[in-house]
Order: sequence, then C-alpha cells, then structure tokens
Amino acid sequence: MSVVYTVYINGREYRVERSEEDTLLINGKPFDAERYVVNDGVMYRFNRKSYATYAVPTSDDEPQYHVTVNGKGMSVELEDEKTALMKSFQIGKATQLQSATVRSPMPGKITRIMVTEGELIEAGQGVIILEAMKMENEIKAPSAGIVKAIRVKEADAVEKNTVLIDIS
Amino acid sequence: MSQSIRSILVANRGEIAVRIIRACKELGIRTVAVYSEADAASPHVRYADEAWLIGPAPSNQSYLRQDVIIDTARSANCDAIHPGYGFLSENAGFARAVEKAGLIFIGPPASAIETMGDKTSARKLMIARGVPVVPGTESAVTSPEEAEKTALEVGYPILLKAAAGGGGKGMRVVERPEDLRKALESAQNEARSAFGDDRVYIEKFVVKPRHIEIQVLADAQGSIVHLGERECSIQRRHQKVVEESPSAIVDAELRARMGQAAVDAARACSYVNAGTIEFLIDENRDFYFLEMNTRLQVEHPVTELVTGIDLVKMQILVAEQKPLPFTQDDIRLQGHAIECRLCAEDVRNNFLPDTGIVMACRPAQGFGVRDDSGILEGSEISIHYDPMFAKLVVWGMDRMDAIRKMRRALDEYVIHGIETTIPFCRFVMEHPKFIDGDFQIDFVQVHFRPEDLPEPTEDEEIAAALAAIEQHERWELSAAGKSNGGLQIGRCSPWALRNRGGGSR
Repeated sequence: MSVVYTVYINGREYRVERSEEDTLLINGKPFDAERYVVNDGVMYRFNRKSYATYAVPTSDDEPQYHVTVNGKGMSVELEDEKTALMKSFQIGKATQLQSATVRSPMPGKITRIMVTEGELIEAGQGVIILEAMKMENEIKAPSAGIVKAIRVKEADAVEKNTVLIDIS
Repeated sequence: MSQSIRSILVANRGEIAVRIIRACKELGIRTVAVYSEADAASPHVRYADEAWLIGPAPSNQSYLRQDVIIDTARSANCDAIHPGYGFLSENAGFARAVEKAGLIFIGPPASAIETMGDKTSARKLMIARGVPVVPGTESAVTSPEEAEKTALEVGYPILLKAAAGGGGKGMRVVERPEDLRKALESAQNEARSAFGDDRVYIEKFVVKPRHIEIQVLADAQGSIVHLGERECSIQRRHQKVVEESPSAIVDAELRARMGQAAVDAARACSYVNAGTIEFLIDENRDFYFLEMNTRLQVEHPVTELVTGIDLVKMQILVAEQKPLPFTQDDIRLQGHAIECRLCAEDVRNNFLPDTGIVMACRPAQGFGVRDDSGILEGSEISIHYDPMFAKLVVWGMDRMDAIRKMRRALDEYVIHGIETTIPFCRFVMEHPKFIDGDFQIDFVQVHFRPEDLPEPTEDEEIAAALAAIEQHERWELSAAGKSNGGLQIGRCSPWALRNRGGGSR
C-alpha cells in the first residue's frame, strides 16, 4: 500500500507519495534522494546538493514541525490520507476556513489580551502581550479568522506552547 | 606595590564566564565558577577548575547574590573576583563589599562606578573637563516658559527626557516650538505614572546619530591609553547586534580626537582598569559623550582582534597593580574586525526571544574566525537569562575582507532547536548601506523587513518535507509501541532502504 502525504510549507503544497516498492514520488514525479543520518539530524542529497535538516515537533496533537534546512527555519504541516479523508467528510465552512491556534512562544505572563471572542482578525495582527525575559512581547495571529475561544486571562502564567487563543 | 593574583572567582555565566576562564588558564591562574541550578552542566562550569552552586535559576537568587558570591570566594580561597558584564559588574556597592572582604575586584574603583553611573554627575564632570556632551539642561525644567527658552538656546529638534527614564518612557522628540508645551505635559505625565517622578530634562536631539565608542585601559600608576573605536550602530530594541572596529567613518584624525576625549573622561573619574566611553556622532561627525561603561563590554573582542591585546589579561594585570606594558604610541590597529551577536530570537517575528534546547551546535571555524560561545549541544536557552548565547567574531585584512569572512562564517554556523539572529546578521552583511558604511542607529527600523530575508528554495522545502515526514513516522511508530529504539527507527524509516553508507558511492 502506498503512503501519501500532503505537506504545507510557506503557503505551498507538496504531495509526497511512497509506493509499495519504496519508490518516492513528489508531486507525481519520481524522486531520487540519498539519505544519511548525521550527528545533527538527517542529511539528504539530491541534484548533487546536500541538505542538512533537523525537524522538531511543535504541537502535541497536530502533525506540525519546525524544520531547519541549511540554516533556514520553516514551519511544516503534514496531512496524511486519514486526515485528508476526515476533512473531506466535513461540510461547509470548516473546510474552507482553516482553523488555527495562537500558542505562547515561551513561558511568561499574560499582561494584555487585545481581542475579544467573536472578533474578526487579520493575519499578523497583535492579539496578546506576553511578558517574558523582562520584555513585553506582542504575540501575533498566525492566520486570519474569527476568535473562537480565548483560553487564558490577564495575569495568567503560561508555559511554552500553551494554546492561548483558538481561531476559526 | 604589585600583588599577584593566584585564584579568581568568575561571578558570571555563559560566554563571558568562559572568555574570562580562558584568559586565566593562559595566565596559570586557578578559576572558580559559580552557577545556578539551571547552569549545572553549562560550559563555564565545566571549564573552570572548581564549580560552586550558589542558588536557583532566577538571577536575584543566584548571580546577583552579593553575599553568597563573596562568601564563596572566601571559602574557595580566591583572591579576586571578576564580575564580567551585566549582573554585578556596575554595582559600586558590590565592588566595595569585595574590597571590604579583603578580595580584589577586577574592575574600576567603586567611586568611578558611582560617578559614571549617575547620568547627571557624569554629565557635569564631562562639561567641567571639556569633554563634549549633547547640549541641554543640567537640571530638570521647572516651567513651560523656561523650557521654551532653553529649547531655543539648544536649538530644535530637541529631546524631552525623563530624569528617572529608561525604555523610551517619558521621552518626546519636539521638532517645532509650537509643539513644546503639549509634549512637555505628556512627557511629564508619562514619567510620573511610569517612575513616580515627573522631572524632565531638555537635550538637543541628535539627528540620525551613529553610536561609536572608545575602549580605554588605565593602570593604577595613572597611565591611560585608548585602543581605538568600535562602531555599534546596528541595533535592535536599543541593543547592539553587530559591532566592528575600526568604524567606516572614523579616520586617524577623528580617532585621535575621540580617543583624547575618552582618555580625559577616564582621567576625570580617576579610572583604573578597562572601560568604554560611548559617544553619539552626528552627520557632521561631531561627537558627544553619551555615557561611560565601567566594565568589560560584550563587544570587546573586535578591539582585541585589531590591536592584538587581550583585554581580560590586561584587566587582571592592572588589578594586580602592575603598570600597562605599552604606551599610546605602541598601539596599532591592524586590519578589520566584525562581531555578530548570536541570540535566541525569532528575527521574522520582531526579534521575539526564543527558548528551547540546543539540539545541535557546530560553530564556524577557519582562519580569522573566533567563536565565543556559552552553550553546547543539549544546553537549554531559558527565560531566566539573556538570549545571547554566542558571539561570532571575524578578522579580515580590510573591511570588505572581514565582511566576506563573516558571511562565510554565518553560513557555516549550524545550530538547531532554537531560532537565532544568524539570518538577520547575514542580511546586514549583504546590505548595500552596510557595505558602504552608510548607516545610523535606525538601520534596523529603516532597512530591515523580515520579508527581505532569503526564502527557502523549492529543493530546500522538499528536504524539509522529507525531514518532517520522517520525524512524523518515527513518532507514530514509537507512540504505537512498535519501536523500541534507534535501530528500529532507521529500519522503519521510509528511505532506509535507499540508504547508502558513508559516501561509498
């Protein structure tokens, strides 16, 4: 049985397919890569160029990763066939508007919440002020949408990666 | 009456503690590190001859505990304490307490820290000794009428500045006389609510200034030399990120004048040890005294590379009451040095500090590259301390050679697990205004947009997709209990069968 993933990076989509014979297809085309496990991650080589990678999960329940490739960091979201299938059963809005969460990038204290539930927000809009490392840091919305739930209140102490706001 | 130092307690952490310990090792001096619970496995703790735990992670319960640090120095049989920068380095009370305990404080006399630490007294002293300061009032304004009169004398644009100020609060730039009263009122209100003190000063607003500082070294015998300048105008959040020596706009004549002003400033407060006089320099290359930092600076390595003088060793020598082994005429600047501060920050997200475990760390190497680092693989960057984890410093034959070397070194530096300022520093090294030496302290606000950072190529994104899938499947396998360790992971991973060992192809 072949395995298929849809991979989202920087607003682009890659379809990665692995066949039963363990050949690799990317966006439908056969793809040949060498792979080496090195002390600082996994290195791939294709088209005679080397790519040193390192992937760290960024979510407890979603297949989301932060991957560094040759020093450039990027957020990577995976969708396997199971998830894709589940999505296709959902009707209406939910399939059009991708839901998102605002998470705390570091431990700290919530000093100000700048949005209210039900509010329409834009991508990059400041939503929460988090005090950490003796500085006030503005946390921004990762995507546009409607504030579905605010999961913290002012003066709350939060850990890294705590979900602060749900956006739908 | 010189006195040899045999054993030094380093009252700091991170890269600067490592830096100080290195100098001590070369001098044959025994080193004692102190550390918080969070730093138990940190490089500075491992490098030192001895390590003493002084408290929990928060600085005010560990690295700022004067009594504990002094007691430790005595128990560990040290004869001197080096404070590094930050923490207790500019605390006159600490310097006094160290001396009172019969130990040597490797830094200036407490009186000099006090004089230069107070903005008003430092300013008065500089005016008295003929060191140029930014024109303005010497005491707080008492009425709007007086403010208007002073502002006209100083010349617009002017800056209203809270006496108790900091962090930009209670500050207003006023460009026209008709805006003065309103700005004064709001500055006073803001200062009152922020600091409980509504005293406001008037200063000339230096338009588009550069931040250039002069390193000085003074011995107990009264000899003071300067070691040229450091250009520190590339800043974010009012903190330096890229520094260099020499400055692209300072020639021998200006260097001599600024150097003399710096030496005069140091002499004025009877300074001994290493210190730095910070100046603002305007578009006409007129310079004004900003403040004196009575300690070793973060960016001291650029001066070391162009002068060949080890500043920490000189600090220890001077603390031993020995005379400096050179005079001003012996100081030569050779080549060009650049430093990039590597901080755990997300440069695409307004330099937001990042925390996490350093999963991999392979610093740049090669000719002319110096890595002053305070971390290793597995180190945690926590919220307790400064996000700067290393300084990458290069030396080149000239400025362009140094820029090229820094680009190469930044590209070579591997660090995984945290976001860093490396992409920003790379951006600076490529920017035409930086290359031309045509920049001021507003460089970041004027020229930097995160969108301008290089985007990953399609092939890099494909590599990222493969890496994420592999990580994902590894996690799913272990979660399902199908895997019990590294070997299995390798065998089960999607490309395991295509693995080609050790470059045998």
